[in-house]
Amino acid sequence: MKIPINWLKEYINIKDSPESLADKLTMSGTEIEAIDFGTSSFSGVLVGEILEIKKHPNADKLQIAIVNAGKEKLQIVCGAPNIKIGQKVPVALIGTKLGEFEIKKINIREVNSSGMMCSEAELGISDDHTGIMILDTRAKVGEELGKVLDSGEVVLDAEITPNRGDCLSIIGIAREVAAVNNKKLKIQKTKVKEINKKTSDFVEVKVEDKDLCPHYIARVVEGLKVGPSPKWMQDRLFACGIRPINNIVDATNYVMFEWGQPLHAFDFSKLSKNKLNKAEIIVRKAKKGEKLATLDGIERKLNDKDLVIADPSGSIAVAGVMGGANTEVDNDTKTIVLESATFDPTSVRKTAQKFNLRSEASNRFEKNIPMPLNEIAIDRAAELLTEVAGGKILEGRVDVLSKWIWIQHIGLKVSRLEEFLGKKIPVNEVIKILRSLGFKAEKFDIVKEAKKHLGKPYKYGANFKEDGVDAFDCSYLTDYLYSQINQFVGYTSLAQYELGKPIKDNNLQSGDILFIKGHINKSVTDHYFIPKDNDGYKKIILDKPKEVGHNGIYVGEGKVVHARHYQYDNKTKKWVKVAKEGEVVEESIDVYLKNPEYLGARRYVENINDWIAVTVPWWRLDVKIEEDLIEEIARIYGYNNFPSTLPSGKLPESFENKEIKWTDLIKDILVGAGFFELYNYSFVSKEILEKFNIDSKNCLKIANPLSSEQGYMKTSLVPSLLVNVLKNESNFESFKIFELAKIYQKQKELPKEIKFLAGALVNPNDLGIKYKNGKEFYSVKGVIELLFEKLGIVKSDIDYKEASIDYLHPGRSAEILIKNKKIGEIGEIHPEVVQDFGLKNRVAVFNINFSDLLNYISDVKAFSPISKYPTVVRDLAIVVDEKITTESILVAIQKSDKLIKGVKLFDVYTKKELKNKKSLAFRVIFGLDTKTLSEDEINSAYEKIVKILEKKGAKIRK
Amino acid sequence: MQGKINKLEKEALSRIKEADSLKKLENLRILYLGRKGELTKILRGLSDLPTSDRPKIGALANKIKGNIEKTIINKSKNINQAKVGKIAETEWIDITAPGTEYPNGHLHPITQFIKKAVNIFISMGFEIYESPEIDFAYYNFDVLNVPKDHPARDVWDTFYIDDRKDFSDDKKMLLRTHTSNAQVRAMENRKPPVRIVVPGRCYRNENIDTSHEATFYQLEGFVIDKGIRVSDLLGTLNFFARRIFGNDVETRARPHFYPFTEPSIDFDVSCIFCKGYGCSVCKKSGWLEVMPCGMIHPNVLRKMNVDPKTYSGFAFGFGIDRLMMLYYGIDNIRLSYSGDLRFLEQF
Repeated sequence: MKIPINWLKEYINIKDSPESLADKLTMSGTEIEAIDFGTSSFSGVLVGEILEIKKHPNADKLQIAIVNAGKEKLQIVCGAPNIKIGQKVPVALIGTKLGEFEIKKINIREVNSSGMMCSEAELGISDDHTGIMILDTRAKVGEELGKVLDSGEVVLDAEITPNRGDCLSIIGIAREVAAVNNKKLKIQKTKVKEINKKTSDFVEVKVEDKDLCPHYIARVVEGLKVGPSPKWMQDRLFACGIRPINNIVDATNYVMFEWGQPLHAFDFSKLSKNKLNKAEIIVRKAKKGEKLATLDGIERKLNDKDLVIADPSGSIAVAGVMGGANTEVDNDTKTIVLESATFDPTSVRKTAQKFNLRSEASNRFEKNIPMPLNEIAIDRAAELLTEVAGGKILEGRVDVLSKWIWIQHIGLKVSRLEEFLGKKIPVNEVIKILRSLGFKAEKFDIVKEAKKHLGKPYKYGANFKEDGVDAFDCSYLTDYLYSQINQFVGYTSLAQYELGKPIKDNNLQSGDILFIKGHINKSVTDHYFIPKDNDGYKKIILDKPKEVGHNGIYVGEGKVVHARHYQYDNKTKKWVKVAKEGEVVEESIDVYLKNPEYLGARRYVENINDWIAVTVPWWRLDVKIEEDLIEEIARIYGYNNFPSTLPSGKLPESFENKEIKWTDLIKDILVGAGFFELYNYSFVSKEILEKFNIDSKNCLKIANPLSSEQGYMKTSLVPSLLVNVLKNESNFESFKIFELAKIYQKQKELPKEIKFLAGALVNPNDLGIKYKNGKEFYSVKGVIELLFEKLGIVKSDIDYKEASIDYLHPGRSAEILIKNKKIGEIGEIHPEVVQDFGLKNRVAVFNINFSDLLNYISDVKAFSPISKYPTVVRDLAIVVDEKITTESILVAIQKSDKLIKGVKLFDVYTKKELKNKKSLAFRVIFGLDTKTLSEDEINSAYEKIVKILEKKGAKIRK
Repeated sequence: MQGKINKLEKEALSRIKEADSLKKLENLRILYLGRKGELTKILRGLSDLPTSDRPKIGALANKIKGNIEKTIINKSKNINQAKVGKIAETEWIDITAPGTEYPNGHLHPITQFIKKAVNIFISMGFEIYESPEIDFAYYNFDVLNVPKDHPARDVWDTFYIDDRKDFSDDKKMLLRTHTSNAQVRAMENRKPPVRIVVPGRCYRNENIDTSHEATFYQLEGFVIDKGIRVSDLLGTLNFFARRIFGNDVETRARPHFYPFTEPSIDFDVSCIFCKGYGCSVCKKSGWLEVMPCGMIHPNVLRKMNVDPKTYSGFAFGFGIDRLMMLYYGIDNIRLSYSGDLRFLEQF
């Protein structure tokens, strides 16, 4: 919201500099995002007058304007549709810089253009780029634009949080300034001079939907002369960011900015009249299919969820959103009906959203308008209309109030304040802060409160709505007293008896309530009501009826205050009406304690002296609970005056998050192996899904995606990894990447989110065996082997099975199984997919279900003693048929003899001259943990291996 | 005898002097001082001498033995020195040539930053919790005191999942707009006291530019116990800010509004670029807004089945991406999700 400081100063003395004021407001919760000093320079931009407009010979959408810029006449090519001859416009001369953009002499489709006419957006005045900015016709040609526009007005730009609708007004901000500076507001009383004609003779208001319009006020102002509003009003509206229109509209807008109440004016002459010649205003829901042309000239299709203002002939405004063209104020308007109302915030919001008509007005209605404001604002508008448009105000307001104007009381517990804040703020300071914000606040003294009402009449069934504080019955008196600190004690004596904590008679404190059976005849004995958390009441039914007919509040010094109608006659042992009608009296506590029908005492609040009774001002609809009050105190006191402490108290249960632990470990392992971790979006396009043969129907679809590129939720990490490879292979010859992220599987309720670990690599350059074919495959296999080993997965539990997977190379891919359960796959990307993606290199990937993998990870490590005896290493090279798997040979060697401690492949050799055979070289380790092996033992074990391998058709290379 | 010994000494010393390798020197040592060496023989032969001669000859032989030993040691030092002096020349390598390559992977900077942040909270006894990215509006909004059709919902531009039109509003599925959806979820099987942090990916339907991304990471945290105070919130965040930005960082707490906290605060740190003097990064204010936070609203506590009369708590949440960008001076948020290794290799 824009806050012109001079306007603010009308309601509050301000000595602060704009910067210091901005800082104070920011630090108390009204964030000032910018200070506009009103001196923006538009050097090189002059006022020009359009003298001539011609069509561009070579472009349909362009025009050629001849513009008088004072010293010279310029030919300017322009694409904006809104220019007309005679208009005054801002002209940027050649050489002028607008932001980063410099105006140069250019040739647009063979027509020279020397300068530029500017939109508000181009000048940085607003976001409006719909057309060229049109200046006041009085602006002097050739004058610097700054001289015409700059107001010298200092304006703060504030971000108002959604809870503070009251701050969408200059007065609301003034209240904030009053609180932070601890100064008094000075708001002049509105003076409404009414003439001798009754409003109610001219207009009638029928509110059909009381829920959506709890309060509607109308006034009639006649004798108006429509014209421009005075300069001071125009300047302020301009400073607030809206364009002046005419004195009537400007006056209503002025009040909206001043007080926060959006108002609307209907032309009285355009409203249809009833038999009594009165305008009839009806507030109702729109009928299905009803249409209304709004002020912007667009016909709006309404439905039965939209609230409208109507007259008997049809709708005349979309309530809280926009007026209808049919009753619009025009230059001939003499008499208007002014509307000031409160509409249901949700209803306004939905309708405004539906029509894409979020405006200053709807924004305020959406935040809820406090009903007492309706009256203040309509009177203020009437006053202004007299001042700026010569209006005469008819007598009285037509006022339809359909809802209780709630006054919010809150009890603030002083001890809790300190416990909650971690800082002791003296009670006096607390009260001072609350009062500076317009709250009523005082130390709660229940005795004083009770005695205030002594002598007031007794009325059975008295309540706040009907009686206020003019009459009481016994339970209403106690209920009312406790309502001052918003403590619910119960509506009836029975409820209060049931809800309080029993207290012994010798332990009474002020505020405790004493009960006697009393005169029962009309009292309910079997149930009572308590309010529910969110509106409404809950009925509590007793097991057995109880007769609790009367009570009084203990006020100390042996006295009780109660609203009494009957007195106990000790002789007849009966209740008799007191001589008078009954009243609130102070009597000795013996009236209770010594009565044979005495039922006991109850307590509701532990320490009755610990409370501050607070009444929330009508404009603060956001303050409802104790925490809200605490925030008010803390923000004005200043959070930076608080100490820094750390939470103390009991140690929480400690859970190690294993998933996070393994995640970190896995990432570290992969990074250690030379992988780059990268992050991809969770979204995927339909096109990519198709390339991967994934049916988009099986994917979650975003209802409102940013672009079609991001239309679906991923079901595999691999496609985006291939896109990553594509992007990087032009910059890097060899690289390895991985991602640990979620995929999303559609199912009945919430989708399954499964974490996957996937990686890809190009041109691996690893240590160890140099495979001639499929080095990419072996590289991913190698890293998976390393990973599993580090994760404590036993080698014998892992299997690699040849598999056919759509996107993988049919001869170079495998499923990974752990304990016979598939956990993922590795392989080279299918050459067709490589081609589809336009990749240069062979790419191998791994794709592992991380959520499943977690089940097999173990950090249990068991130590086995290191053998005392030496081992012996022998190498063995064989030539064997290509199709005999390396795995089978390794197993055969390992199992050949108990002396084999280990075996490792260290070289693979395939060459044409070997034909369909391959040469493999193994390193075999011999040893026993119990003794040193002799040469003979090793030789015989070695021979065993040779024999077994020869049986498999292997030739031993010597 | 005496003459023989002296002659031996002379010969030995001169041969030691001529020796030009350690090997030769060792041979000389064996020749003279070894078990079967010349001098050893003489010493062994002492018993054959007359008793009167023995002390004198013995002393002489021992003296010469010591002398030879010393000379050999000195000579071997000389030989070594000469040799080492030579290898500087003979075995010279170009030490400016690059070292051999090792695998050189990189963790994504967001991963690194989350780890850094989370570890600070772990040191304060926090537990890590994760919540789903696709959730019901109920957990993302309703339980957090953001009712349907409330203007407060406007703050979050939300992606919705398409195929659930048949469900009621609170069962509508969306991409979580913050990790706060974890608050009530975590408390469904926990009781206070709790200290929890929730890192995770969030989504907002915002137009993307250099400082806005539709995908981002958040770190949510909350503490619930008896007697948790506003000052505990400030202290916890101050501790965090100091650990991240250093002990000289200044912080401030500004009132704000969030539906799920009451009071609500925006926690700022002094601009790490200009140290509070005002620059383009902090928009001349000297402060960087880093963390929305506040005391958990009693309505939210109730949704957690926690009695607000007995317990209180605080919650905070911040965007990892933005903090990370500030920390490393990254000027374009989109790089994070570009998969460009030229970006990643810098971390």
